[in-house]
Amino acid sequence: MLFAACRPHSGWHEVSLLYFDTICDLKLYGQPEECRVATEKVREVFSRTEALFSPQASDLHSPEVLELYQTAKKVYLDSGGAFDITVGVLTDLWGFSSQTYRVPKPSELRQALMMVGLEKITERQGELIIPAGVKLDWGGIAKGWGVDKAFSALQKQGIKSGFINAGGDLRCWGQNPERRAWRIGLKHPRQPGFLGVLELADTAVATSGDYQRYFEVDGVRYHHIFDPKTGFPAQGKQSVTVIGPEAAICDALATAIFVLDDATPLLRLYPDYGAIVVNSEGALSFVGKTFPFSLIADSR
Amino acid sequence: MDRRDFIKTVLTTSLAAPLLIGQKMGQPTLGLYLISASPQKELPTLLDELNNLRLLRGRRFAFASAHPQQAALQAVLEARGWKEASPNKAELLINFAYLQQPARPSFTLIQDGRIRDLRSSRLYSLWQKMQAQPAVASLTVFSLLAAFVSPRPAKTLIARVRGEVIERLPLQRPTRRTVDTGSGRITFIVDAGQVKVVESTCRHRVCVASAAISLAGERIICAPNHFLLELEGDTWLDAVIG
Repeated sequence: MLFAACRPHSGWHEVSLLYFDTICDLKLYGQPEECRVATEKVREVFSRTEALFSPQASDLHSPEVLELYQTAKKVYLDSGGAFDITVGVLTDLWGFSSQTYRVPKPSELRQALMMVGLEKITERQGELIIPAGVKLDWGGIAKGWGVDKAFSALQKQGIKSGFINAGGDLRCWGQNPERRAWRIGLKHPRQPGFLGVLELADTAVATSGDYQRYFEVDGVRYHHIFDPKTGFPAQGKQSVTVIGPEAAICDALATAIFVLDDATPLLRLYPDYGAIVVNSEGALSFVGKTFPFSLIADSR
Repeated sequence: MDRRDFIKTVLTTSLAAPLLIGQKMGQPTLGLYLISASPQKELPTLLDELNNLRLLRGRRFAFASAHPQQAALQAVLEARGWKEASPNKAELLINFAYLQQPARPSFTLIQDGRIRDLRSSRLYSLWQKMQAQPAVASLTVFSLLAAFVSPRPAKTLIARVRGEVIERLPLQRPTRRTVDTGSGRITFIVDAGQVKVVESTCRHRVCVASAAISLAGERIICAPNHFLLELEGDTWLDAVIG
């Protein structure tokens, strides 16, 4: 006796999940059951990422924590300290953790800066040793890392084409529904509308901007991307978008480039990555590897 | 360069993207594709031709990527009255890539997705001179209109709470709405084809700080309130970031 198996057709499946205080969009190509299982895997990965790297997390010995610490340390060293996960004390001091925003006194900043610097952390017998007063802020890298892990899980599930967009930390692979590269609109940091369109395949993107979280006092904007050397929000840029193979690296490099005056030396160490920088006057520049990017007419 | 050679060489590089987007969108596009190790030598003649054809709209240029002959190209353009500008202000955007394989030096003007024949005698002799040179892998693209695509205004606003559509509003009718999401309250206004969140009980108020949205595919998210505003309409975008 012959059994005819009726295989459901593959198609595009879209789902929005709520993690990292933002909406995470998935668009996956596969059979319905395959995509349902894949989505559950992404939920598991994102829940685990939140549990390990949220501001309240205290796990200092999980393999994932040690792995991300090593990645963060590499970018810290490569960027001369511009990207630093020990800025947690500054995030607290400026009120970004408690939403009690304020400009700290110089004496408070001096005190806080004594607790900033990744060299204060040591790794001993599979555990991170953090001195009292030092506070980790994984915000500049964890979301990208979660996206990379979710991507790996989806690859293992056999999802051949799709994208994950976790509030701007994005990874796309395969082809879009029109069998072309994925077209990603990059929002303008100040004006309504888009700055331009990226056309990407098998690539990650992350953006750091002074418009994402900020408060204003006497007309001055104080945002959440701190220069670890001064303790003040980094000056000179409105947004930095980094494009390259891994979302965690894009995420960390976007923060580092936001802080640095010149991104060229850093991106020489990351030849597969490129950045689109909008400075504080709104002027656009490109650093490092070039990716297909088309400007939008009405941003002129 | 004949059509087949152009497709074989240039369209395999990432620099074909503006051309393809423009074609897809039905936008006017114009790109000069120059395969040459020293584009600064050929550029003056080519610019004269573009000027004669009234294809130049301004005199501002910008480099969209690092170029091995950046200083030389800059000198040629500045000597002819061009000024360097931010890429979002420039009428001429210069991009560079290496071809996958070396090709005979040549130039090709692509207008609205088609190769445009250039028949002046000056260009013919330039072409002959270039063809006699050894093959190179350097491609410079001078995008005149090619890099600029127009956004499309959205027609409808969709408001969602926890993924459920709670309202669909036409963007052309001014309105102000306050929504109780169960997690908090959020107020948005629709005016002159734009949507903006003006009040929210959420913590960081990222939604209130977000710029007004007006284009298909744009969104404003208030994660603490599980609230999403998204604009519906024809869009060529797969995702929006930033």
